[in-house]
Amino acid sequence: MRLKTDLTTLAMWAIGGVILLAIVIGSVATLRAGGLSARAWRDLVVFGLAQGSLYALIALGYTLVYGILRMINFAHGEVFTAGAFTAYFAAVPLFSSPRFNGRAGELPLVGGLVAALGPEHPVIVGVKLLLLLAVSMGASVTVAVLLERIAYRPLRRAPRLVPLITAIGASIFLQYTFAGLYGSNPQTYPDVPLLAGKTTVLGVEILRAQLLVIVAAALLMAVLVFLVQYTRTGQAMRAVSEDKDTAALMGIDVDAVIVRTFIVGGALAGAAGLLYALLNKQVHFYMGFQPGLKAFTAAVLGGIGNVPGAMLGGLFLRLFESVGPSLFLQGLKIPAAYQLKDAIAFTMLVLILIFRPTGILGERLGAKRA
Amino acid sequence: MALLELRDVHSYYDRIQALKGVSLEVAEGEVVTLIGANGAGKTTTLRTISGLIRPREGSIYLAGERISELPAHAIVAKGVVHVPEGRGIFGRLTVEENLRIGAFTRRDKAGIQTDLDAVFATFPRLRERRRQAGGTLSGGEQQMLAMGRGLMARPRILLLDEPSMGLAPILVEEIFAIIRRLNREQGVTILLVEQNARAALEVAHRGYVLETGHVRLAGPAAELLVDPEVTKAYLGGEGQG
Repeated sequence: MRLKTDLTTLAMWAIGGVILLAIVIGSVATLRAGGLSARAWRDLVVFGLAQGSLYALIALGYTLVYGILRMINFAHGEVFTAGAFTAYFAAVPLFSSPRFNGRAGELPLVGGLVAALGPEHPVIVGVKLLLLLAVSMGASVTVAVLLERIAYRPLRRAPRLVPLITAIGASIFLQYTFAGLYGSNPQTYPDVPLLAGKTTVLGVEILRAQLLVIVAAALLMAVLVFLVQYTRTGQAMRAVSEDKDTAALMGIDVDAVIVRTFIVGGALAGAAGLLYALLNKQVHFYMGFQPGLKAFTAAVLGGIGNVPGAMLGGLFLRLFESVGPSLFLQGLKIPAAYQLKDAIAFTMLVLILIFRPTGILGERLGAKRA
Repeated sequence: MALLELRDVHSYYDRIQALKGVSLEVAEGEVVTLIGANGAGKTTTLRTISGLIRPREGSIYLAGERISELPAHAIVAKGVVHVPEGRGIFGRLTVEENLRIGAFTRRDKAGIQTDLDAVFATFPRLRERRRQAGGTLSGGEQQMLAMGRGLMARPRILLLDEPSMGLAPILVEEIFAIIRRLNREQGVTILLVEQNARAALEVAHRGYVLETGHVRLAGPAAELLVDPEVTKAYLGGEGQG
């Protein structure tokens, strides 16, 4: 028995070692060949940071719910879709109908204001984006709260596999609800003035949309950290995540805290949905699946249940996905390396699970195994 | 009128009946102890009072008001504060955060600060370690933290479950001294569950002996201490405490 365990560990470490070696050899070969300019590398890093902060926002939803309920909310990708796709229907009138763009006077007050300042005035664009954010967050929060109420709460005392399977069912149910409700064709977000083109920050050229994503995600994460660390709700969330019964004995309404956790996770996913749509322009009913899976991977990578871990995991994963193909694979003469970015993402997961099963910032489980 | 009263309470874990009609009373200002063997239903009684388990039959009253239908968090808000077996310290929260969360149902900031200082005065070691994570404390310190946290709720009645469990004899003595002081000096009403029957009866005014979900005996603590049946079954020759 003992020997068998050792052999398994040895085999795993051997696999991990081979992968690491391939990464090193590939990177060295790529850098020696010098195929990409410094600027190209920098663009890849910036792109990775922008996408990574989106992943981090979604990953936080997984990690918050896991921290409280010890379950993976596999329908969280659809919570993200709900925000992005619902906000599409607000984005179209706000940014392409003449009514809200100062070319018709049907809404005297609003139309007048838009006409006076011009549809590209930063204040007008900002207000419109905040409206979209409200729609997107509202839709995602609604879906998240309904999920908790209808799908998960009745199973609170069921074995852990049951809510997991329910979550997968809920995910598929929601995907096809969006397909039925919003249509199964991809839709294209309208162009947002001020977000097109590039700008320069600290001497680095960056797409404006990417800058918005990075700044907004950083702000939201700062708000979340404040909420968890310093507010009554955050204190209650931390207590419930450690021990529900004892939390109830402190006078904490555990069910209410669970609902709030889904609200917070949903709001972050809604914001991520809108930012994703502004960056990538397209929405469709299936759009949440892939980011959901990646964000879940990011949450595990960072240490599931750990808030800074989810942020770090998201950034880390997407940076590797962005830089990895060019850095690790091109030097190994692998054709169409960028197609393999998903393979890189999940290889990162395998490596982490081999060398640090609790994730980057995860705590080691005691001998008891919680 | 009794401050806390249980009338014919029946409780179950799934299909297993743990309490088979427990009735007991605690008056304001009293220390009452529940003693009995493992599995007699002592912890279940406390968990039923605090709402973690819902009684299937019978009722629980706090100062005449029926509380057995309320959820656990609402029972705490009424002033019934349960310090659970195993202490239930939030290991990742600091000592001070643990104490402050004990006052979760209260909104009076000034009062909370006063009580925090009072708890630190009662348990000076907690003040020294206020910034430390709860999980890093020793067993005795954790027990003090759990009791201090219970006091932060300004309890009308404190339910203590096995406060001496797993502690070194010198700490056991200290814990019982603190229980006595809380009651005699601060007037805290206490329902105390203990394995250490002798020490519990020495600090209590009255006691109940539980046996397989029934109240087997009840009476003033001084009488139970010399009751031949109690002496034989629970105070045995080993003379702990």
